[in-house]
Amino acid sequence: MALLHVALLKLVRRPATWIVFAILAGLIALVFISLGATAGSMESLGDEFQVRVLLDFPTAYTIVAGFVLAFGGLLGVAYGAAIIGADWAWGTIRAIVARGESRVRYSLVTFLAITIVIGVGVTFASVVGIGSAIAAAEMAGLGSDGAADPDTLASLPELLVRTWLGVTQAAAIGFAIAMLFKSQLAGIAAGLAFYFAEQFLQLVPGLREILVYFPFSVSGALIATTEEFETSSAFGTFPVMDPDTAVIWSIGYLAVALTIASIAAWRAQITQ
Amino acid sequence: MTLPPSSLPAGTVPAPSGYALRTRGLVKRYGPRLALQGLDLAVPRGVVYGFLGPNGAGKTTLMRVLVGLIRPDAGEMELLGQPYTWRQRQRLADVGALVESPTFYDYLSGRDNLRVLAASGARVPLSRVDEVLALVGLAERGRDKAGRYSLGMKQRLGIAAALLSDPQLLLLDEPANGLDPGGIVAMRETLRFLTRQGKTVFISSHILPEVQQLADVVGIVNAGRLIREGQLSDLLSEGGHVTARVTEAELPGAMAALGALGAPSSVRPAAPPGLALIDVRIGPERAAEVNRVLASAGIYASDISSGSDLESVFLSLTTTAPPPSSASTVSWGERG
Repeated sequence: MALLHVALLKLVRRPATWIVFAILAGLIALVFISLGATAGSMESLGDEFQVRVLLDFPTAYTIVAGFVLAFGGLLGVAYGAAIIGADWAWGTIRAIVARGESRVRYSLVTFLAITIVIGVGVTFASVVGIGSAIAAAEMAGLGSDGAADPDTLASLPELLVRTWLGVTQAAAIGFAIAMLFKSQLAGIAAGLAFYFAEQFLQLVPGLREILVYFPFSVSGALIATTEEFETSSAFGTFPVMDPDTAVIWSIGYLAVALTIASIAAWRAQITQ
Repeated sequence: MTLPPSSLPAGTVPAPSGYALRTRGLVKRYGPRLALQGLDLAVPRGVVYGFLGPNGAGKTTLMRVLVGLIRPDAGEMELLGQPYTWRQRQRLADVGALVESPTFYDYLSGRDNLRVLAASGARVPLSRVDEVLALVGLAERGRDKAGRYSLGMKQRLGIAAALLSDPQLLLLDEPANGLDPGGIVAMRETLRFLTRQGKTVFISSHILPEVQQLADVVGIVNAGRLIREGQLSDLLSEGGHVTARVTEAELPGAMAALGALGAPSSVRPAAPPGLALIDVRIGPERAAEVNRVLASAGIYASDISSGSDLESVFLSLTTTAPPPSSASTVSWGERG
């Protein structure tokens, strides 16, 4: 508990934590306020309809969660890599290991602290997102009566937990890469490259059936409401994993990432 | 798995209560380069042990191996009288270490940095954090962010971190680095105080005068091997020299006369041509004796100088070239 306590202390006092929170919440608020402000001035009815769908409660709750998961996943990869990578970049892991602390225990406790902070960040961003979506819906003249739908409100905790799991899984990937390379910069760069590579590969139709099982597609599927995602553009449809199956895959990826990180920590020669 | 008895000459190192640290045949390889080539070390309990060596000799590698940052490729270690391997991390509860330059979370206060370390490895009560901060003179600056600390303050904080668990063995890598003169004196007194309490202090350093003032026992390492280990006083007396300047014509007679002292001598040319320097490997307190022996043989040296310092001992052991005179300079490349 003492180790977890100080791991949380390090994260709470670290400016990067608050900057990531601010970026995540700011981006989501910006998206919804922009949608609300432009909803009434769309050139085509189709576009206006799509914007209205995004801002229509209770569906908007899932849309908010989708944005938190997408932006949060991206930031989560960088955050997970930045936190453990800093211990290597700054050499602080040296003093901790030299005190006889287990490398594996230290790594896992650090990740547990990251997970807790991500939980707070996801909750904060979701609250900001929902508030922004309600404001945007009012701005667009849609009203927000649907926000009080009892069935949807009852499902919000599960939606929040699924979002948190998705962002945590993304952070675990960044965490493992940074541990593997013993580098903050390599962890962030490789983690983000991995994230964007998976997004771009989605554009190749022949790969879509396989990419469903890739980590960032899996995390996206955690809150999916349809079996496939249909676009109005030339990109066509994207298959989506069943959300409950995605939970299993996501936990699997989390376990694999943490196992890799633990082995890397155990084997590392600390010469930094 | 126990280590055989130390190879040190009997009586060289007092070890009434055994050894705080011993290594036998320690090997560490970085790719094709051997950083440690069968290092044998014996650090008695309750002393300040000065671990000296030129750059790249393997000093930091040994420190890293001892605290489990890197794994040795071969060899045995003994910590506080018990066999020790890198897997036995809990054994480091009795060891405090400052390896290389101290590193901290700049955005945390000095006190919070120590709290982080206090929660790692061997747990220590929070009250100990304030104790060690006071011990290194940082009590009033403990709540300042570590990023605002000067190099010397970070060094003090690093020493405080090493002292956190009140260790039996303290491993310090260049502890005087960045300290002001007052800080160096305070550190010296603190380390002396610790050895009076029966603790052992192992210092790896380049600052030879500092080690000479502080160490009881010295180990000199070069190219990953221990080349000399013993009490500092013995080492200094062995390293003492008296140098006499005579003419080349007087050399045979001078060498014959000095042979009566029973000490090894060597000859070097001196300037201007026609003069020679005779180095007699005896303690500086015997300089008058050298003068008397030469005078008895009818030889009057134009100059007699003497010296005994760790630096000359260190240089004579770690360079292939003969020990330089005080006036000569040694290039970086000659230092091994």
